Amino acid sequence: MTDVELINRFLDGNINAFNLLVKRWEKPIYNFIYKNVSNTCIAKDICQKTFIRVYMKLHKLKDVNKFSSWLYKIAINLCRDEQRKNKNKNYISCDQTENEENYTPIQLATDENTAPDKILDKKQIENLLKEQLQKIPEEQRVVIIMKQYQDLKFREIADILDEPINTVKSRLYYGLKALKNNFKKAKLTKEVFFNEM
Amino acid sequence: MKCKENPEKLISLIYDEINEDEKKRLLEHIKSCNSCKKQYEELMYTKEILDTWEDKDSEMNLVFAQKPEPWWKRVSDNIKAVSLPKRFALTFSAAMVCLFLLLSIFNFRAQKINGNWNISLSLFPQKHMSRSNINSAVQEAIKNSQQETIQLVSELLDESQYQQKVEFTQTLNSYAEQLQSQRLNDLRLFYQDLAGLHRETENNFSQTRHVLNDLVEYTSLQIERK
Repeated sequence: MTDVELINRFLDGNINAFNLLVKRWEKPIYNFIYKNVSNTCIAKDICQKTFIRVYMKLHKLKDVNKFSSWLYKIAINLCRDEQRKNKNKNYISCDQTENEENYTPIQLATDENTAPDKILDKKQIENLLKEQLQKIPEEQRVVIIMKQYQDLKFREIADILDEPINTVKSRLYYGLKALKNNFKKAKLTKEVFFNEM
Repeated sequence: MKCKENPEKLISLIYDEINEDEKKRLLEHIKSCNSCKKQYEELMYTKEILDTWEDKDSEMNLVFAQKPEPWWKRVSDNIKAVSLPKRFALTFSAAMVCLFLLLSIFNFRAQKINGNWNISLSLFPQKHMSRSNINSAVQEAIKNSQQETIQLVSELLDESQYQQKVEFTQTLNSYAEQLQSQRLNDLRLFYQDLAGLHRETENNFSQTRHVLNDLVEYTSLQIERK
């Protein structure tokens, strides 16, 4: 059953259709938000708010074929609200408290003569990428996450962000370039990431 | 020297969103252009690194529940669902039930006395009794009153007996006190009399002693003279 069919059923009063829609989109939206805000608790909170907003406003959606774009728009706006609200706050990461025993801070190399002396495990790779993604501008980060992890087409991303396709590509290019420079500074070679895999 | 090739095209190539001709052309170009080749490799390298971060399960399992509609809306929907005559009958029945309920709440009473209707409404219920009920109620009241009177009289008698007992005890006590005081008085007088008698006897003894002393002196003088 397609999203459009589920939406129509929900609009006819079938709540189970909406739950099916949520089940379908929960994981991608959660991961999109999590990679954007880098905090499990906040990601869950925003994810929940996103679906509540969808539930409340779905009847106002004019073109149900654009549901996914609309959903991402809501998630992005909520992420931006949260980041604006918590600009000066320091989060206690759920990841740190939940997995405190397994958490090992990553020591990035400060100059070009030193390099990480070991192969990173999955958790460390995640923490490292989270950290690096947070260092780049939000508009570039969002595009990278949407393209890299959500596997959206450039046209879809442009639609979600209301920007021209070339702007999206440009942001992606500069975002990847910034990340590459950061990896280079930290002497994080491909081997460090892939040998463990 | 920088190549004039558009970086957006490189991005399209990396993410494979490019038509076949353009793809071929760009790949050919990359082979010959060191600047583009370097950029392409670096972007690919970054992309591959980013690929290592896997998606994880949200573990949220969000479930939405239907918000229950208010009762009046459900009733109105149900009414709307039935046909017009049935709806009319339902509305009429509901109105009648409400009317009867209201009348019962306000204790509606209608009575025909001598051909005239007597209608009354009251917030408090009115008690209506038959003649036999009145008689039995009166008898019951008399019986209760009698029992009450008997009980009161017996209580009065008990109280009177108790009062008499108290008075009798008080009288006896005062009489005993009087007797006691009289006895004490008598004893005092007896004591006084005895004291007087004692003094008199003492005087008599003293006089007797003087007389005997005089007699002894006289006798001794007489003896000496002889």
